Amino acid sequence: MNLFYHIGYFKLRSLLKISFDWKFSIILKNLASLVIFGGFAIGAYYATRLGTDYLLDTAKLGSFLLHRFLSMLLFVYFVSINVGNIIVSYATFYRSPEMQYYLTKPVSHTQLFLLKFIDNFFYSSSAFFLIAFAVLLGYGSHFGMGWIFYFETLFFMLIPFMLISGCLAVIIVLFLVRYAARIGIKKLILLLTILYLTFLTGYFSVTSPLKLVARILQHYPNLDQYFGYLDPPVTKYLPNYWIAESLYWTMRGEVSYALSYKLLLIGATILIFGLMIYTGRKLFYESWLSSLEFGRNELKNQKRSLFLSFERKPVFNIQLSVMLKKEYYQFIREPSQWVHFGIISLLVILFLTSISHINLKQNMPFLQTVSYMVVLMFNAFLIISIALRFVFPSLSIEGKNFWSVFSSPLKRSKIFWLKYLIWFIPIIILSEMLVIFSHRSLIQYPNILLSASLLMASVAFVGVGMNLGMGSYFVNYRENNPIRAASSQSATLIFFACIVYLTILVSTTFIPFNGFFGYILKNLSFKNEMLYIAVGIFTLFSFTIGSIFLMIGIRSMKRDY
Amino acid sequence: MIEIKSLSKRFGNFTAVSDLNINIGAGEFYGFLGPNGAGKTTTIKMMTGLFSPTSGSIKICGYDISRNPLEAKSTVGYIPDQPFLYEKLTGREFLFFSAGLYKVDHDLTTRRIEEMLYIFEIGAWIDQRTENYSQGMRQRIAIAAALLHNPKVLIIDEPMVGLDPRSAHIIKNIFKTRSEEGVTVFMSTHSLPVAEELCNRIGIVKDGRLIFDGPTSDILNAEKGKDGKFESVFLELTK
Repeated sequence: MNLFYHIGYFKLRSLLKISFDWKFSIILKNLASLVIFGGFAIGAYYATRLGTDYLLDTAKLGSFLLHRFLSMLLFVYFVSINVGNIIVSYATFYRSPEMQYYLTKPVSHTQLFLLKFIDNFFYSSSAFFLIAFAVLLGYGSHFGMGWIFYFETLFFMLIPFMLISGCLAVIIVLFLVRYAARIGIKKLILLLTILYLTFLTGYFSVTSPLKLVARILQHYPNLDQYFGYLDPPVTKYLPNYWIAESLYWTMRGEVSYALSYKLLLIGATILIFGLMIYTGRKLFYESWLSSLEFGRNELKNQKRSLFLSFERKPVFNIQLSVMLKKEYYQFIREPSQWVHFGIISLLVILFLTSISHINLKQNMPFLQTVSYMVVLMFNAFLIISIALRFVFPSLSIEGKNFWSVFSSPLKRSKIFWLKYLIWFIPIIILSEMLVIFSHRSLIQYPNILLSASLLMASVAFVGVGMNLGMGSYFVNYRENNPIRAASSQSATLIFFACIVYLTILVSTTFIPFNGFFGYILKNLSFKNEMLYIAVGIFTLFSFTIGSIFLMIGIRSMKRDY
Repeated sequence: MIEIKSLSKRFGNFTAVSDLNINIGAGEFYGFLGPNGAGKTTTIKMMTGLFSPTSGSIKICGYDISRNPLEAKSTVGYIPDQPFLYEKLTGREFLFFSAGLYKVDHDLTTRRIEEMLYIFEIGAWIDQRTENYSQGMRQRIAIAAALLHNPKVLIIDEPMVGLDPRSAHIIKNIFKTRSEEGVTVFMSTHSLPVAEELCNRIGIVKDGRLIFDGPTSDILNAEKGKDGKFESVFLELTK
């Protein structure tokens, strides 16, 4: 185990050195991180605190229903951590040059596997952990809980819960890579995606939040009793249920019930962690060797696109033509890019199909505005997430190969604008498609359609501008893995900045939209100009912000390579 | 062809290159030597536009690399010390890509690539992705890519690293031929025998400063006074 600690010690030292470097850009990044992460944590704390106050004290929802909603949120949280760890662990275990280096040293494969698991877990889950802790503080403060509650919940529930999710992700990846060569990577990924979607749909159709609310409301006003008999039996085997139950019984002062769920969670964590170590011991090295075959197998089955072939004569500017072809092949031949793109496309199609059935027309103006803003925010969030995943790392992934472009007679600003257009065009088309699909029930109001269209175009402009600009500012040519680049500290920082931007969108447009819906639903007095001015101000703000980030990006491109 | 005037580069408090002055004429084969960390790669990166100078200027074929970077870069073929190639492209695709960046006509590129396949003996694996190439294969592709646009100036950083004797032989012959055809070659190397064999002029840099600049024959004459080894003169100068 000595080598395990030895490597771990030097990895930690190197991480601390990088994090606390006294370079201006690093200090700026750390300060901005502190402000944005802190702001986000404070926001999450207050949102949870106020939400819990509202649901329990004003809406009198009852603690059982609150904890069932909490269970569903924890399920989404579990899945998010799981997906994040699946994606990042492939990169850390199989694509990292560091692993190649260690494998040549006399270190046991199991120790290496464990080291990389820890690296991977903290890398992909730290932002989730911050949000969860802020939410926990907000939740606990409503009930006036002491520090022992936070300590216990954090170390005996939250971390084990996240570990279960992370360990399961790694087990999935080990099997996926080990057997990909035999079954075919594309088939396996498709199978995994289908299984995942079935699991997600299955969970929400079994738990059915709407049915649960309707059945509990039949007991109004006695909503504060335990309705455990309504829980579908299958959900009782899930860790999110155990946490929700433990918290529920803790709130009711039934410590022994709460403890039994805590023990169940810790027991399951030990079991899954042990299973992961066992699987790692059996499969890690074999799967690592199998992963080396990926590129070679792809080579045998390589199909070349005739239209984008380098051997085909370019129809327009030759420099741009070869750059575009390079971008295309870099994307289409990198599994971590096309697999992720495929999954996101599938989710987008599902999202577009489901939002086209949403009826946004409600009777209450306030409810109408809230549901409208939720849909608009979902659309915007999707755009921001895609921009973060694909646009932010687009310069870093050029890596050390960029010498060939930078030493050629091609302007650096041209390279930047080319990257910008490659992503901005599809993203703005997607954002407008989202507007069309989500506004089917409001199609007879052209002013709202136009407003939404402008708002989403602004989000696309800022999303791409901010991610490319900051991707250029924080460029790391040593990290040419797109997934790790998109989940780095700088990327998380930009993601939170985008969330702040979306908050500004809500605060600028909520009142005018509410006024507009009051006018069309209840004939209340409203001037259309109010909506246009709010949308105009936001568009102008977005244009300014987006342009500033683009300028920063272009300036950063001119730095030494 | 290459005119370096009062060139300096500082990284914070560290001076990597200090007041460098070099003039290299057409067809000259200039060997740029020095111990590790002497400032060779930094100088080359400034000459190719990858770094910007802190002060001073570099003119290539009359074009200032800072003021007219596109014109200057058009005349240069650059071969880096580590030939990183886009791993997802095949060797042939990378060659088309490189030629396109220099706006070489498509038909001409196709013909030149065929020539390169023959000269560099790369035909057998040109259609494989570069991620499967050895160091020598990558180096050959990087050199072929640098020659596609028929540059007037070749800037080469450590060309022999990781090459087998056959690859080294092929590459040395190419550089010699190009130099004889009038191409100016600026080559940084650690290999003293390579410098001795190829270069007609040598510059030795130490701690960012040029400590020797003259014809290779001067060094060869100096050798006679010592133990007959180029290595001894180099070690003496860079002590």
